Amino acid sequence: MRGSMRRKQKIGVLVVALVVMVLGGVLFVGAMAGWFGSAKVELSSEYYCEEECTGEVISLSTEEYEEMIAAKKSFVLFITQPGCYTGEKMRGYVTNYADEYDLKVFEMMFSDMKKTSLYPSVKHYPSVAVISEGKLVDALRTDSDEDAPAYNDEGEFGKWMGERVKVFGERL
Amino acid sequence: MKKQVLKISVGIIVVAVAAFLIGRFSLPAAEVAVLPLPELSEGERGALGIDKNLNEETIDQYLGRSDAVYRDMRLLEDPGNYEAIGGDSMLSGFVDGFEVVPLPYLVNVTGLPEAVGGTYAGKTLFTVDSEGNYTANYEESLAVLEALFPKDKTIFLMCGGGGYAGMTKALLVANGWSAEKIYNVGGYWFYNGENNVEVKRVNSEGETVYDFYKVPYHEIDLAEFVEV
Repeated sequence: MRGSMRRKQKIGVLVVALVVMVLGGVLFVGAMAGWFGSAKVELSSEYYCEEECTGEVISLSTEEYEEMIAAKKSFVLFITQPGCYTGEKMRGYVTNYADEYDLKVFEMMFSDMKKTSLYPSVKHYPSVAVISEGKLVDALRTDSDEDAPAYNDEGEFGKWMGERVKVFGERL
Repeated sequence: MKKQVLKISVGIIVVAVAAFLIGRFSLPAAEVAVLPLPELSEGERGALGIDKNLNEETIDQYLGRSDAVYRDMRLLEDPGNYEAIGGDSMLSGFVDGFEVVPLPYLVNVTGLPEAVGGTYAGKTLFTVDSEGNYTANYEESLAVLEALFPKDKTIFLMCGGGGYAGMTKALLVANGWSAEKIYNVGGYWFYNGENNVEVKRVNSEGETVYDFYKVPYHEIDLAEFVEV
């Protein structure tokens, strides 16, 4: 009788442990996959304009980009190519975004970006890459159905950015 | 007798195999490769009309076909103001086999943000309105299109990022071309193949120059045409 009770207790403990492990695993995987919402990136402080500057899009060379990555900066990078309709259409969105939220956003030519460590994580242009402490967090992809609205509607573009980048009022 | 039959049989087999090998490998591979039916990519690339299977990554397999024409729709020099952003508005390279036919001379380009300053904004062969209707501006407009984009050929289109190529396909299809014979191959800047031709270089005096003489370019002189 006692043996049977102890056996049942052991089984019960094992079942509970198993359930906890499975739940923990699911939560862990879910957090990694962003099921519960991925953390928004806070840009490096110098890229938030307060009263002393206004938002702008700043051209970046490959060397300057690699220096910022080495210095573990957090920033937004617009990747385009001049003389190209697809890139210029998005330029308006990016410029307005930087202006509205008083942010310094960076820009690099795709032909230059191909020579940096960011390629081929970003494979096509136009794209906007969100970089946190020197690491690519996310980027708009031209071959993604999920990202397509952000390419064609400024409101959707703003929404995509808003889900990934902290603006001034959201900073800790 | 048996040895003779055997020798003759072996001889026939050898000749047959040789004939097969010669026939198989003497034909240009591109003539043998079957073209996939046009299929759109996903996402914004698909919205631009870039093909899923026949694009910058695979175009090398389809170059040099006698049943096709290859057109790069960029300008040699884009008049938009890109200096402030450090951009290169010149056609600094192309894929060997493609010939340049600037789209902005074929049809008006719309939708660019004002900050850019606009691309070529002069006269064009056709005008497209906000509803996608095309109007020929010259008596020769359609004839020019037919000469540059023969209807009996497969047409491969490319530009910088795929936008101009997509607009070209829309123009052609609206004027009676078969959509199934036109592929938007995408953008030159995404091309990493074996047939790249560099136009931009630094000369012995350290200056950046552009060897446009290398570019097969189709001049469209609208001044010679009769306006409708």
